[in-house]
Amino acid sequence: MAPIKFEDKLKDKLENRSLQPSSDAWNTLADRLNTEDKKKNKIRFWWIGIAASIFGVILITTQFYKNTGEGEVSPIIVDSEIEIHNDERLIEEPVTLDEIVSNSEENKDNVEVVNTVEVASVPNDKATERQKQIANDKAISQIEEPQNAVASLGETKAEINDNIPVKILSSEELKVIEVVDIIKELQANESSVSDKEIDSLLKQAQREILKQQIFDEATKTVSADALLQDVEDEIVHSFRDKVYEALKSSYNSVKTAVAERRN
Amino acid sequence: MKVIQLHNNNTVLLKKAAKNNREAQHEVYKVHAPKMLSVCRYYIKDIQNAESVMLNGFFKAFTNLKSFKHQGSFEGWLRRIMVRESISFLRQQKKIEFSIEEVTIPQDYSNNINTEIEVAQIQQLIDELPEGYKMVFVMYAIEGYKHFEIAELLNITEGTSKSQLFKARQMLQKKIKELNKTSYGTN
Repeated sequence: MAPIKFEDKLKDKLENRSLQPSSDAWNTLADRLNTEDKKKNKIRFWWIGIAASIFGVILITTQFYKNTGEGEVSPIIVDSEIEIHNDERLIEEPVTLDEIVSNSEENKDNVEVVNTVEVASVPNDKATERQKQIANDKAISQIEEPQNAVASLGETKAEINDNIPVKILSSEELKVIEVVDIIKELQANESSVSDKEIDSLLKQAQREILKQQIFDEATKTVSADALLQDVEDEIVHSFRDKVYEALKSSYNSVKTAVAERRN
Repeated sequence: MKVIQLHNNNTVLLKKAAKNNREAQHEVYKVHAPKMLSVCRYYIKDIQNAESVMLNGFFKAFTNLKSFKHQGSFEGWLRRIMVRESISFLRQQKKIEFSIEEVTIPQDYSNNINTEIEVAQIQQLIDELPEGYKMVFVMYAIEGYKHFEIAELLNITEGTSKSQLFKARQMLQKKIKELNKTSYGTN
């Protein structure tokens, strides 16, 4: 019989051995595993929190840039439309100081227009400069103008100064000269003229201009056209309205032409 | 058929245990704990310390169970964890010492000892070996590690591993002979 290796015998005997662990050994292990689970959950929670906050920041940033991008584009479009419209208005009819102030309260784009009106209507005159200053001060105190609005204002001024002749306004100019004369007289009589006095004079002059336009002294009647014109100018025509009007007028002209042919 | 079914059941149980299912982990523990405590006991003389090391081993096994690929045997994987845990425990206790002295091992050396010996006696003989001899002997003769693997695990050279094994065998033979003399003397 071949001798069995001692080590193999040892191995066999030890391999078959089993030692029972103590009764609370599993509980100890389970407690450790539970603690580890809690730790892992905490870590997972933190990671989720960090990921969520990063996502939130990205979302807010993109939203912010999106909004600012839109904000940059819109004023360019609005500027061009309003400029054209108000230039027409400037040439055709007078603008009162009350309107100037109220317009400046309404929106900043109109403030640009108001200022251009004054530049175009009465240049090189001290009184109007004073008027302009008052209007500007009021407008600036009520509205914070952005830098681009100021820039566009400068451009508009330059354009109008180049293109529009001063002689267009007559009755208003006469009234302004009249007011200036009164102020000069006051300055000559008294050493200083207060702002309140100038304001009241200007307001009076504006009221008279308005009255002249609407109420005809010769016929003692109220001009319906002037009133209508006043109201019509308040309505801002959209591009669609303009197109519609153009189509309507062309349709009428075609209709008339066809009717005349038949006759 | 039964073997395949058992394997499948084991795989399902281990997958559940990997998902932190405490009941499944308890089942795995109940199956393997007695053998793993025995493995730890090869190296660690004190049974309480051996149990503590075994629990550490199970904790690591359960927390890293997802890395087990189900390609080899789970018991083998768990055994290796227990051996590593036992080694690191002994390292922490600073009990491992290896004699630097190199020994020339004779070619005709045989470890054949024809004797009957009880498991408790075997464990006692192993416990009496110095830590360095004991670890190399258990790893080589009982766990089946190769010398290069032992050298890698214990951070020693292959030569040191071989000489430690030779010395451990010599010492064991001597002890067994003494044991036989005493037992024959008493009978």
